[in-house]
Amino acid sequence: MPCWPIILALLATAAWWNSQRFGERAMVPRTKDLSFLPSPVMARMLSMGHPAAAAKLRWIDSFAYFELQLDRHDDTLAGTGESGFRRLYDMLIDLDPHFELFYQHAAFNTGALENRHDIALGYLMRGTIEMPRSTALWRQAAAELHTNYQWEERQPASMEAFLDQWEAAESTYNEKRQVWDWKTAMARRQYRGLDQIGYWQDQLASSTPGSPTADYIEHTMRDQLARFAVTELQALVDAYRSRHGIPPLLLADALEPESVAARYPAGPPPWGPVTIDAGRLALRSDPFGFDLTLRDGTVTSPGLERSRAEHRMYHLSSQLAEAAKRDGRWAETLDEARKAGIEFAELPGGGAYRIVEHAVTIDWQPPPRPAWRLRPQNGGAPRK
Amino acid sequence: MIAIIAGATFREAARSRAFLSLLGLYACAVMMSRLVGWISGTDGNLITANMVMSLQSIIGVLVAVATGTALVQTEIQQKTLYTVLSRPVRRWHFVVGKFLGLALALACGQSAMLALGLGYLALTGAPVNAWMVLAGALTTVEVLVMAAVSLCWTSLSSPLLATVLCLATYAIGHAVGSLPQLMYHLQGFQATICVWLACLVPNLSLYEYRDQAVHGLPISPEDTAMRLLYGVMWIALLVTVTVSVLRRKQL
Repeated sequence: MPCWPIILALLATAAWWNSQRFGERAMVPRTKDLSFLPSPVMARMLSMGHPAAAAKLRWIDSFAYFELQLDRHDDTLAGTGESGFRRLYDMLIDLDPHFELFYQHAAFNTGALENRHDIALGYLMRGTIEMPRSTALWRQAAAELHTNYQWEERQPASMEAFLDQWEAAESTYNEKRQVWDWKTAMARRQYRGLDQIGYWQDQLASSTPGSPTADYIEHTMRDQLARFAVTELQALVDAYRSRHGIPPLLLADALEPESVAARYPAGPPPWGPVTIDAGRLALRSDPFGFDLTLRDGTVTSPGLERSRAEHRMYHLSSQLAEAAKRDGRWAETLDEARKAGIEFAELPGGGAYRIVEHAVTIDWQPPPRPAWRLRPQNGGAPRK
Repeated sequence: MIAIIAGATFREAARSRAFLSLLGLYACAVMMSRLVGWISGTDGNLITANMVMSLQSIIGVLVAVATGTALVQTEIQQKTLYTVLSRPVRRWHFVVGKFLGLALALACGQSAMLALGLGYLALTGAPVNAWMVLAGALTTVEVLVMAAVSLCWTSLSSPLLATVLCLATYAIGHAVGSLPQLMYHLQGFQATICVWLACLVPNLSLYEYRDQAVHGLPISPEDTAMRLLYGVMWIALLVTVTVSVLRRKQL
């Protein structure tokens, strides 16, 4: 009897068996601890002559730790009490000090997740010393100084000096021009709340479409744009109220040409909630694709409300896991979870909680309009 | 006579299954290296370039160890060594010829790997620069030093043990580069012993220029010449040790 039918049958069985691991139901976020990481010197020794390749593999493997910290926001390592991100990035940067993304991710993770902007700035400065021609690092450092240290308002002379250093480090006209643009914007900055959008757009452009990083960046941008839209429209509503003594009945009523012209002398900002359609002022949807609403004189963005609810959802999943650990069994339904002491806050319109695979999820109705397109195509503003 | 032995060794090494299989493995690994770039969530070019340059060293050293350890032992086991030594051939002729043939085969293999690796990078859109060619050449020197190490260990022990010792030498040879930064852990005679032992191992970290080359960072001609000279010196030392051991060996 020939062997090949047996080989084929066994191979097909083995392939089927392996494929079960990749089923959608079985996919769970991978999380990882970093307590085992060695010191930078020891890591170099252990890399056996391939520090850059080892650093990249270690970095890719640490994405799971990033996922863990998105939920946990506490990266203290067991034993020494050190910060996991700092130990990781100190090691990675020592192994390959010329890889720009290590500095960017280090700054992002320590700044945004740990809320240690001093450490984040330290990484960026270290990067500009190692790679003085790295425009992305200079830009990120400038954004950090502006956003988290408010240097434009508090230390304008120091900010100018920093921008001068950046300009000196750039070698081409186009690169220097970015710094001049920044200086110009610093001089006549008028749209508060969107300072980071340029940075996030750069990050989005360099990410792979559809990847978790791209989704995260898009979500962050929508969040910031929605906050900006709410702030801007609230200002127009307040202007309407001071002019007429009562709040507008509809949000569109707040778009009075006089108020809009006073607020935007050079025309509505491209990333803003107000646009001109067929020669008339018009409201855009929020960046998530929902209509902005006015309730008791307060402007709200349903998309932003959903985003906030989703942030709370991750916390609920953690609570669910803690309750399961404490009680020895998982809550399968919402009633069981409530009995276990978990409180479910009321959801904005169109949302319903559900427990799937030991995690809380929310079923949402789709937005009535398409979400804003954020990925830069010609470097322009989002399309309507 | 050395040239004849070298030519025969070159043909033998280039036709050996281990040599060709490892070259095939390198080609597969280079193709797969793009996957690492993809899962990084970046454009992956630099990461793939790092992988390709490292693979040249790793697979190159495996080729050197696999072929180098088998070279003399096969001759002894198959008794072909007696046929050679019964002719007017001195033992040092035999060892030097063997090493030169192996070195030539390895250099050809390394050139093929470098061409394939850089060609693959260029085809997939990763940036390729002239420094990477120089880094590949330095990796070739590293591989040749390892070939001399394998020849030396084979003359002193069995092929299996020699393979293990070669891989250990490779690991230690790279580790000694980081040793000065760890010396503060040691005190007194511990530090002295450690320094002496470290000085007896080739410092392979001198050939790690590949990581800088990927970023397009230059290396000075003096530095390159010094590294080449260092490699040649170690090769000369190890081949001389092999000759000395084989001279005294009762075959």
